[in-house]
Amino acid sequence: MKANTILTLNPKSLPLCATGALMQARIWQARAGWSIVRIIKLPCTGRIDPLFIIKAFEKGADGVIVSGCHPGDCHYTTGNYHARRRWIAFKSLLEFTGIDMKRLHFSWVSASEAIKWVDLINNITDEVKKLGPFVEYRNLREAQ
Amino acid sequence: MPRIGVFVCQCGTNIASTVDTKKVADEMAKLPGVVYTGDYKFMCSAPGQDNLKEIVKEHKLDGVIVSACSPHMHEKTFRKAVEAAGLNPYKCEITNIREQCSWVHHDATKATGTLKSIDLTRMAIERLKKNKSLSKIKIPIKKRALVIGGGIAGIQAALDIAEGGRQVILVEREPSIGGNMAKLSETFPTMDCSQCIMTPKMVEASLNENIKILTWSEVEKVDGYIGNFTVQIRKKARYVNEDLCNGCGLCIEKCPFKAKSEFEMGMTQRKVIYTPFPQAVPNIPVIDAANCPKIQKDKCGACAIVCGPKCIDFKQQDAVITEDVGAIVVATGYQLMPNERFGEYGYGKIKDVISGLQFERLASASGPTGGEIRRPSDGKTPKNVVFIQCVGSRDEKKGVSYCSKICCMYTAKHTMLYKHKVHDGQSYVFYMDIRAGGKRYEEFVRRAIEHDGAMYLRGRVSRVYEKDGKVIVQGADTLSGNQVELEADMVVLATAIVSRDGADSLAQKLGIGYDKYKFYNEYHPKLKPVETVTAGIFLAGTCVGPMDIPESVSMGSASASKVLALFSNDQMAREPITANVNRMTCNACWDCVVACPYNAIEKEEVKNRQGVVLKMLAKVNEGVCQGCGVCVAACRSKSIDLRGYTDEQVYAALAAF
Repeated sequence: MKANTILTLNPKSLPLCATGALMQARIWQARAGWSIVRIIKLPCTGRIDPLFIIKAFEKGADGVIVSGCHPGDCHYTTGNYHARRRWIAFKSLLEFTGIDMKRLHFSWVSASEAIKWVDLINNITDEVKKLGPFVEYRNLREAQ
Repeated sequence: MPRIGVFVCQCGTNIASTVDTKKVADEMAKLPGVVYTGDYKFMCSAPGQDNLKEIVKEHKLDGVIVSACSPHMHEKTFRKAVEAAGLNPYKCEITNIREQCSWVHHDATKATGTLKSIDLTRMAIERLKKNKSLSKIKIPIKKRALVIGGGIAGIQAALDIAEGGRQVILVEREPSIGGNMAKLSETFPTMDCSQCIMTPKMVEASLNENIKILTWSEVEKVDGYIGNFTVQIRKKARYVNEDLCNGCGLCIEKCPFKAKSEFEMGMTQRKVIYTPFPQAVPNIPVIDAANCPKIQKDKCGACAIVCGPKCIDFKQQDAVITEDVGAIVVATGYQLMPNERFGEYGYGKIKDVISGLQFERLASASGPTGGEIRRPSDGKTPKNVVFIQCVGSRDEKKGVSYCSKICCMYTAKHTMLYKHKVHDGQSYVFYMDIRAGGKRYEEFVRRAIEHDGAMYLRGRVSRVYEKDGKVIVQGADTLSGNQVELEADMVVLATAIVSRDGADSLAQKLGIGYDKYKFYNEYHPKLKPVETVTAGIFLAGTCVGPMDIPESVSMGSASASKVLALFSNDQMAREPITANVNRMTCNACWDCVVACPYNAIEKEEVKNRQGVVLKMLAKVNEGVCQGCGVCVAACRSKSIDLRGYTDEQVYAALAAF
């Protein structure tokens, strides 16, 4: 069942992500995609160490979504700018390490964008399901 | 070995309908370190909490997991309960299996929901094993407040805070406080004169020893956090020395140049050195530098010649002053949507098409016509006046999707004011719906229709054009099903209420949220209507959205009471989620100093007994640190960690999923 686990690095700075957006999400008919999402709460996208993402893939995640406040609207003033810059630099390194970029998504969603949030999760879970389990890292570990 | 207790909440059927809570509890019991598991109908109820406390003591737990709703709901509740049972509150973690699990799953077999709850709870348990005991940080509070905006909401907030014995700085962008309310002629539904009720409040604010009014000023920069804000305020050059000016008005009288009056909505002219209206507070004039020939071309200077106390200073510059405050109330108000956007109504092209606020000035005793209703083009008294409602409001294509809320009421008021001044006149109102929800509001509209003979036509206006000195209004009366063409002498547009220019940039300075119309976001639209997501910053009045005077005043008072409640404590306890530096491994690269958005990281010198600097270290100021964790991810030597969100905790959770 873990084959299609998606990990969301879900910043605390979206205070309503947990309540408001998802309360509305209920109304907007979230689909089964949600069942494969596991959430890690962090204060800000700026807190995200790129190693968290690699660790998630190593531990069996098939996709990772990093989501936080829109640039310019950071709960912590500038944290998401750091995250964005780090992401740009880190993306090519991840590609080099053999992770398909279709499995990793960075998306800005504000607390009031319930519809966007639902669409995002539904689309990404659909896409990751199509890609199937991410086994490269696991195989590597077993080979060792 | 840790001793962890896991409590799974059913939340009635909120969680239990798609999650098998018993199974979640049973599965968790198999994990190492878990010594108690159980599920319960309502964990947050008083018996639920008592049960939790008893079990903590009975099983000598050193960590508690509550799998329930969002931590935003009940993290505080359960941490308090755990504390009461003798455990450190930060040894209690909440797993969100309601908003993030049961509510988004519709699987009645409970298969997926249960599986996900098990995973989420397991991750939280592994994280909890790495939790450290933390204690809250105490920070002092500066007991002074800043109010941004000197309209009725801001004045009310300032007066209430001042009455509570605290100092207030009231910042206003215009040369006088008073805001939009000072422009109104009468107010619905009581029909009392706006200035008669407004000006005493303005004077009261100016005489109150606890209130410092800064007009012709704008907030430039805001630093700090609740209890400890540092604000930079730009005092724009007034070209008049405020300390010397006695408000005699001779300079205004002698000034030979004129410009359009902003206060009179462009319907008349004011002098280039001016106070916006006679009751201005403070009664100190300001020079309109763009139109002053002395400042532009070094010609004239009449005001300086006649001024007795010699307070005119053409060389005056903007001054930036710094104030330390503990709380901020934002009350920046509204403006009307530019009517020029509605070409079909002829605004700007036809002189006799005016806005609602312009009509207020026409009807006002202190306005450009001295309170007589005379139309702008030729000064004649209009015998037929057409009022058009919802200009821009409830019109997603050309305007805004929301209802501006007050237009139905003020248009009814306008028809009455008109009838009281022009007895043989006839008013027509084109409306979509009449929204008169409020105490004595519906009766007020009925009075306009039944006593003062306003003709209400349900329908939209398609075109307004000029013909033989008349303004022709073409529209539909959807109740009779007829097309209507009216020959009007004047047309009044009830234009949509929109946020002030620059509302977004102020929000960014303050770090508060705003919606797509640049109205400020409340922390919670129902339960925290005056708070913002930034602690210590409160909202009042129409900067939040369209509202009438009683609502604005209530919000002003409400935010004042929040400020006073904050100031009733000498210090404040805050969450200990802050960064801390490993002094053994920090190599002083200062990446964290550069990354920190709050300037919370200082460079510390480590000296030996002789005072020789041995090395440099980064040091976090816990009072300033907000716990975002940007420094943690930026640190190359892994020497900073974030309490409550340590690398160890995050990796433990990641390893368990």
